Amino acid sequence: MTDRTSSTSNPTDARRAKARRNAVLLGLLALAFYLTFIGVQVLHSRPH
Amino acid sequence: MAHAHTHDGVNHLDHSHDDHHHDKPTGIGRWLYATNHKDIGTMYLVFSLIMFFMGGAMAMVIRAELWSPGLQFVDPLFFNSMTTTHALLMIFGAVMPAFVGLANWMIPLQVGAPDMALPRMNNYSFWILPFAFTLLLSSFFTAGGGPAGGWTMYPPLALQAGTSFPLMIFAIHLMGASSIMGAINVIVTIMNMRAPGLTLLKLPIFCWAWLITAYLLIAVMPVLAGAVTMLLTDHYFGTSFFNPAGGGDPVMYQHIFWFFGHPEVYILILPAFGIVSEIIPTFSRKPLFGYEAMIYATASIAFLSFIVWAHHMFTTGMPLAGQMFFMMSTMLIAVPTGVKVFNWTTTMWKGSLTFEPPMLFSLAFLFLFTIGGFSGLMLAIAPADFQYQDTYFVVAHFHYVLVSGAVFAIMASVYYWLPKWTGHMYSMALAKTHFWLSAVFVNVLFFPQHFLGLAGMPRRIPDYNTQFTDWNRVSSLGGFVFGLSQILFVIVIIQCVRGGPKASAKVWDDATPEGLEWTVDSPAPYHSFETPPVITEENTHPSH
Repeated sequence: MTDRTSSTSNPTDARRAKARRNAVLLGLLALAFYLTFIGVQVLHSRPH
Repeated sequence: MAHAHTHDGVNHLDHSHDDHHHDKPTGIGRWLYATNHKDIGTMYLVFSLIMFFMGGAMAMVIRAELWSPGLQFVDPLFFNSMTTTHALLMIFGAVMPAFVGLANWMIPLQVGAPDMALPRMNNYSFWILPFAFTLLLSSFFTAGGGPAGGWTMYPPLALQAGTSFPLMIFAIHLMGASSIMGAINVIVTIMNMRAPGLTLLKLPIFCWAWLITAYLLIAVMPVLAGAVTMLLTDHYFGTSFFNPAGGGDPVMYQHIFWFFGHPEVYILILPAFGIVSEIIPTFSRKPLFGYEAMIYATASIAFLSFIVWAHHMFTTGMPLAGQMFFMMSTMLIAVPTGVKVFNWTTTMWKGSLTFEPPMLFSLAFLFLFTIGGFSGLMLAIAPADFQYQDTYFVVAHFHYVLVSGAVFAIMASVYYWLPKWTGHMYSMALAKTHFWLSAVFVNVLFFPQHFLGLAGMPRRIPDYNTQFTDWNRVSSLGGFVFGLSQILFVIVIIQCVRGGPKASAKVWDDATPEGLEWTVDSPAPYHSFETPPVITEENTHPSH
């Protein structure tokens, strides 16, 4: 865990870096939902 | 541990300061390139207010047209454009951005963070919105006029629109992108930027409500985007997702839309629950009753919102088992919602109540949202819904939930936190006048619509049978007074921004506001919590 009392490191920057990684993952999750819903419909609406 | 007292009057962990962060940009650049959560929050709130008045003006056109049977002022196509655009503006332009604005202003202050986790993405999230709504509203100037197929955009009707169709679709894609980015920012701010020691079960309930809402947004906005993308390809690229002639199914669109649409309803109300859960304890001078139960109830509502969507579609025809499932699951939502209503009531029980404007709006929320909840239960009953479907009863129901629910909670929150934002107290007399006019006339406006709906008046029509005239006139009268009384809201805000008695850091000194936001000065300094605050029992919400 980051030592937030240290004056030599910047704890806010460390937390931001972690937040950025999580944000990318959440963005990919949203993209996956979008593509999944269209993909399922593509399969569903093909002529049987 | 050593403490230091800093410029914002809060105990901080002993930590060196980054003084270069203290600059405050000026001019138009401050807003265009804004990365400060308070500036972006302000822009969201101002944008939302503008959209509220534009959407409100459209509502006035609707109510004026419905003053008498027959056609009075506008042609039917324009009337349909009014109902469609009124809904899109109010949902995506007024209520959602208002909540994002409140999240921007308050979440960093409540979790002890210097800003949102991703300030630049925050800037993009906001600035997408004016472009999205310019696209949407510009469609009124194209051949065929604005979108008129209803905000739900059901095919095949929506596909019969003119040039407005692609403009609306692109606008909705942009709104969705903005919402998803905003939601991601809220989640990572709460999960990663909390002050040390501020555990999840010490979070203010507003943060909890928003955290759950943000997950809902990430789950369902892509579904809406997918639905409208498929509409676009059906219209322009020869696909037939929803066209039976090519093997598609128009009812499938309704399933997809409402799989987004029902959680969207909770996206519009869960942050309101969070706000009311902040205000009622403050003015009851008691801690919130059942803090953890409130969190579990919110999470339960969010979960249930994914398995109730087809109650919007009972009349499309579905197997009896399907009707039973969606009827029962919908009614189940009354349980966690009831937990919330009883917890708010129990918070007030034997409290030392005072009735400042935020508390008045919260109490009105409690009563009137509950009326909307009860009419929702009536609509959930499948056989009864066959009568209510597409009548004014539905219009009455969702306006009770969204106007006297969501909008009243937003107004409560503005009256609660405005002194913290501006550093001034506002005119209590004017704010209370605004409250009483709103609370009385919102009922004059929407309650008669229950009667109209039960008597069989369909929604989304510019003309009606003569027996509906009287209650339509009452409703329109209520609408005009409610609409005009909102000007008072703007006057109170402008007066408060320009000056007024100085607000203290705690603002509501004789009440018991809890949370870190009350430990910084009023107005909140441009940069707050650059070093994390020390978490004590006094400055956080109790976890019980």
